[in-house]
Amino acid sequence: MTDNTEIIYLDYAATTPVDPRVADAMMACMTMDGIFANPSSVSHSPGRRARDVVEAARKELADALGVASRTIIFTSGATEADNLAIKGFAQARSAKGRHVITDRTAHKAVLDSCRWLEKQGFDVTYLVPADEGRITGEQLRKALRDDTILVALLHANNETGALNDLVELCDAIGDHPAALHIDAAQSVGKVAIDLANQRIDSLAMSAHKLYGPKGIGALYLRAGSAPIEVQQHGGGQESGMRGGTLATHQIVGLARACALAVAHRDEETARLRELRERLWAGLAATGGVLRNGRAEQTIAHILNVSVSGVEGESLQYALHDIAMSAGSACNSANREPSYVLRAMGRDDALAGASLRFSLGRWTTPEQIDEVIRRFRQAVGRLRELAPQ
Amino acid sequence: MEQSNVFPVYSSEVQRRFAAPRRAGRIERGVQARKVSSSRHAELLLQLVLAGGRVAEARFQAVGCPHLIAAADLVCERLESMPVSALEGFRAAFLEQELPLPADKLDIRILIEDAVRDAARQLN
Repeated sequence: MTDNTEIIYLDYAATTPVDPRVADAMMACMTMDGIFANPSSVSHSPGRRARDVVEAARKELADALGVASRTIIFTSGATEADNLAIKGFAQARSAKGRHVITDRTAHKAVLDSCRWLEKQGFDVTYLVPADEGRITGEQLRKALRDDTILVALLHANNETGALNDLVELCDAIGDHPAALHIDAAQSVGKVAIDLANQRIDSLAMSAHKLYGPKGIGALYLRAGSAPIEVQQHGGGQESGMRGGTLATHQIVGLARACALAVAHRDEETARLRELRERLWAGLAATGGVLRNGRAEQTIAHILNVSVSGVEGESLQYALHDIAMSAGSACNSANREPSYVLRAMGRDDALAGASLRFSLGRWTTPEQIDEVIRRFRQAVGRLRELAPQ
Repeated sequence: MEQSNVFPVYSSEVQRRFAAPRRAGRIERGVQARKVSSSRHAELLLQLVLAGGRVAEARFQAVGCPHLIAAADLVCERLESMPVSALEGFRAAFLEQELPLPADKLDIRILIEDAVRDAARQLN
């Protein structure tokens, strides 16, 4: 291992670099000669220009998602959008019931919001994935009760990439009055999502997962959906749904990033799937490498593997010239085996020795081949050190 | 939505020994002691060969974090030339200064000390 080795970035599921086309659009909204005014300051022309740019971006984003502009609420990211939807729906509907359903392997933004609801006296069911990391319609149907008011699930799991079938889940809910919230942070711009399906009440997304800036996201809230309780007050922005000065440059960045991603989605998905399978073939040839999730049921840019016969921290350090995640980035700080993989049935040793590779716009075949070479070298060396 | 990865900081000594542990390997003679941690994913196999009442060769094999590998390598280096009589009371306090081990990994020192004492008991 040498500090002079080029770092290969395969952590696009954690965050992505801003696409230069997105950065250009944002720059026009930042400096004195750009559109920098407060979009709420409509008493003067710079403010009205900023407002118009925000609304144009809202339409650009809405068009990319196939929805009406009025259904888009800008937030600071998917975490805030999850909080707004989960807490907002639960609080607004608490007179009708206090049961919420989510997924044990959901992102912390969803899980921690649900745990907060538990502290407020709500009853939460945490479904355990039955099918290689996916929640099935059958599981959801069995969990629904008369007092269920909210179902909050991921579209694509951020650790394993396991893709829930939204049509199947919507069919399972059927005519039940519970709201359905989908965290689509990993899937917007990468997988087609039919928001015309009226069963999806809300959807959270984040710009920095699709080559946009950090610090901005959006909540899609279906027109005609039951009201939600506002969580952030002050200023009345976003039709009173979310107070706070609108960040024109970030909103423009989010919209442009999403539009670009959707425009090139199919070809990029095919390219990333091919690169991912090339990576998997190379890693698997090392032996003793397990794939977490099935290829055909996993979002194209994520590959999660567990490596037998090695310890996780040593594995990650031996590969520190590859930027990837050992489990979820949110959990890397406390060195616990991935709760997602444990919920999928992996023992602590395998869950601890798991790696998430996530590919992106600037990933090349040469990088994949070099990652394979470094992986084989590192795993081989660690296994040689092990008691025989 | 996600925090940046917080990667453990390893001292230059840990990095050096992890990258090239000179005492890693297996010897087909002598005594061996195997220890498995109950609190983390760690396993250590220690092998000692004696000559003239002293440890002539010390080798280890391990599955574990970089601190375990580095500590095992350093301990094996220190064991060589040590009189057998000193093994049963062996303490690896020098790890605190020379590596050092983070506070949440002090069990690694205990694992290694237990392995050395196990090997010593086999020699008696």
